Amino acid sequence: MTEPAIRIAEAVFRWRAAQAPTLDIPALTVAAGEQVFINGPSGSGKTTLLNLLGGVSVPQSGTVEVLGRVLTALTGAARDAFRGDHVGFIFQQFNLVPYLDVVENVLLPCRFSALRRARAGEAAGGSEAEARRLLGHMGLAGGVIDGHRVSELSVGQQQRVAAARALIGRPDLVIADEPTSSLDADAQAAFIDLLFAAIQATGASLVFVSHDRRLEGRFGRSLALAEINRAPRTPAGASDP
Amino acid sequence: MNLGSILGLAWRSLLSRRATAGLTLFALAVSVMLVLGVEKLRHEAKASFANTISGTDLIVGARSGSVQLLLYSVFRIGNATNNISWKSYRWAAALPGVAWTVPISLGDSHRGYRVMGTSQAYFEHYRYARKRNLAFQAGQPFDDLFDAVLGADVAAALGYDLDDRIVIDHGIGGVGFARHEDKPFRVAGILAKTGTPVDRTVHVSLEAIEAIHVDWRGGTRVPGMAVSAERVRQMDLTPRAITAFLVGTTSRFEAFGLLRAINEHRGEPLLAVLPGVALQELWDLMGTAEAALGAISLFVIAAGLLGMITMLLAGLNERRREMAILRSVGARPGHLFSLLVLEATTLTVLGAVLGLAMMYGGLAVAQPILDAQYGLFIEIAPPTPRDWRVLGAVVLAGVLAGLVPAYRAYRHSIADGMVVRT
Ligand SMILES: Nc1ncnc2c1ncn2[C@@H]1O[C@H](COP(=O)(O)OP(=O)(O)OP(=O)(O)O)[C@@H](O)[C@H]1O
Ligand SMILES: [Mg+2]
Repeated sequence: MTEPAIRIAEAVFRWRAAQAPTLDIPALTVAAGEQVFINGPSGSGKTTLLNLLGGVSVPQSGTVEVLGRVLTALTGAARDAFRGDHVGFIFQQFNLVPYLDVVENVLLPCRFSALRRARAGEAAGGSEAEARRLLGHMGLAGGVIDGHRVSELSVGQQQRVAAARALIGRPDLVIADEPTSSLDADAQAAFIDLLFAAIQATGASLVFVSHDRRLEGRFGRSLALAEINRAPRTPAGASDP
Repeated sequence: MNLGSILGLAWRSLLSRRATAGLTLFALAVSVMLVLGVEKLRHEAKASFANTISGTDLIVGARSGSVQLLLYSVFRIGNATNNISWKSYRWAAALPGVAWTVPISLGDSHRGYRVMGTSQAYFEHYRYARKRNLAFQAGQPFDDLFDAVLGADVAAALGYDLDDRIVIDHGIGGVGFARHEDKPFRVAGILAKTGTPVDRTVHVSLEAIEAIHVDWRGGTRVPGMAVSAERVRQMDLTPRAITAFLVGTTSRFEAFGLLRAINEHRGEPLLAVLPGVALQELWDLMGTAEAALGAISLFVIAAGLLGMITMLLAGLNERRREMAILRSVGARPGHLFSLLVLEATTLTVLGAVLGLAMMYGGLAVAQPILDAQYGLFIEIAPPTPRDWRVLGAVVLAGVLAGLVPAYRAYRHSIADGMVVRT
């Protein structure tokens, strides 16, 4: 049996020591290659959970294991390097570095991870060709890519560039934080189709969080954050937009 | 993760903020240009002063300050308060150990240029720079009573050629007030350029100075006593007094003995100085001004660097999103720290290079003007070791200044992680 993509055990996380925990997750396992949809209302701690999975934050107690590595046992620098090597992120919006062009944005992880640089470079034609191939998969042809600053792209196009970036160098885990919530229904569906196709091609696991439950039918597994999180919703958290 | 890659990001980020980054860079360049330029001017002015007199062992004049004597006798700056008598001059010239003397008589001018009465010995013994003799670009030393030898700048600026007639103005007050128009001079020679005050001087014989003043007392013509140029030739034109004289010794060791002998002369209070010592006194006088200039230079650089810190800090808030994205693709907080340091470094390195280029550009423009207006010849030479040290210090200070925004970015990225609260 292969390692699960994610295994969380008894993880408790507080933003501030004096506050009630935002997350208190006794157990969560995501199998390798699985596509999981996690939903929860705004302020429930979805983004906080993804921070733990990416190793940007660590729980005060308990363990977070990703791809067999116990993140909670690593140093900050090692977690950053691990994230760069193995995890691709797509955020809700403003995913792109404004001063880099489309292809440079896609290749950004290769600047920080030798592993992903090497993997992207293995593709026929090298890493730039690989970036263009991924952009093509996401429905972005050369005409859109070249000669446009990223700020000139539509939001939907920007999200597709972000998806290509999350996939370059074949990371083992892709984490998407409400990547479709600033898109209209048609664009949402199109984006999800493209993302699924691209993910299936690489065999990566996918964790996709959203407050919008209309999307859950498309995933192999769907769960509500409240099911796995024992922490009570704090009044502050509830009123948080 | 290599530094080159972060440097690439820093470069792209600065390019995307061309306007503000460009202005910041320009401000830095201006401050670097000022600091290097001021230092260059100071250095060249000193060199030019030091180059003006060479191979002269003593300068002698009426008793006053040694710096004052040096300034009026050699640099034609300021005036002598007193003359020395011809008798004292002859006495000193005859002292044992004296190889040669060059008398100097100042007080008149020609269209703003000083007129100096001297002897043939001047062309033979006066040396400048590294013991270089005066050379003629045209003509020869004065021979006739009313011959004049022009410095290179005088001839060039006033468009004079050999055999042109010139009229000497009385005093140094300005043109046309009182003129010796009854006794015009012929241009007998034009000296080659020296880069010293010689270029801006009109040379005539001591006798000529005497001749144009025979019918003058004080500042005015004596009424009814006009002496024609022809008649004056028959008179005894031995000068009664001169302003100063230069002394060459038979051996360097004689200089100190002569110095004492002249300074203790009973007949008339005389002052003899060693040119090197007087120059050193001049530098010491200028020391305070130099220190002030140095301090101003420091503040100018500091202002440029403050501008850069301000620009980088002001940009940080709107860049939190960018930092979060970089974190999501594996950047460590330390990477964001070095991104900001490298932006500051890039700006200061470019600022230093541009400043250096602007300094040379400015020098190329200013060189002919300074030469023509002030007789200050600035040599355009490659950067000195001191210039490189200044540039190195500026870049180092720039890197240190970059630590301020870098630390801010570092703190932000720890607090924000991959999420920016807006
Ligand atoms: N950097 C932070 N510092 C302090 N508190 C934070 C921080 N980020 C989130 N929180 C708090 O943690 C709780 C969960 O926030 P989180 O962003 O994880 O919610 P979310 O489920 O992603 O909400 P949304 O759907 O609006 O994105 C909120 O109460 C929020 O105030
Ligand atoms: Mg969120």
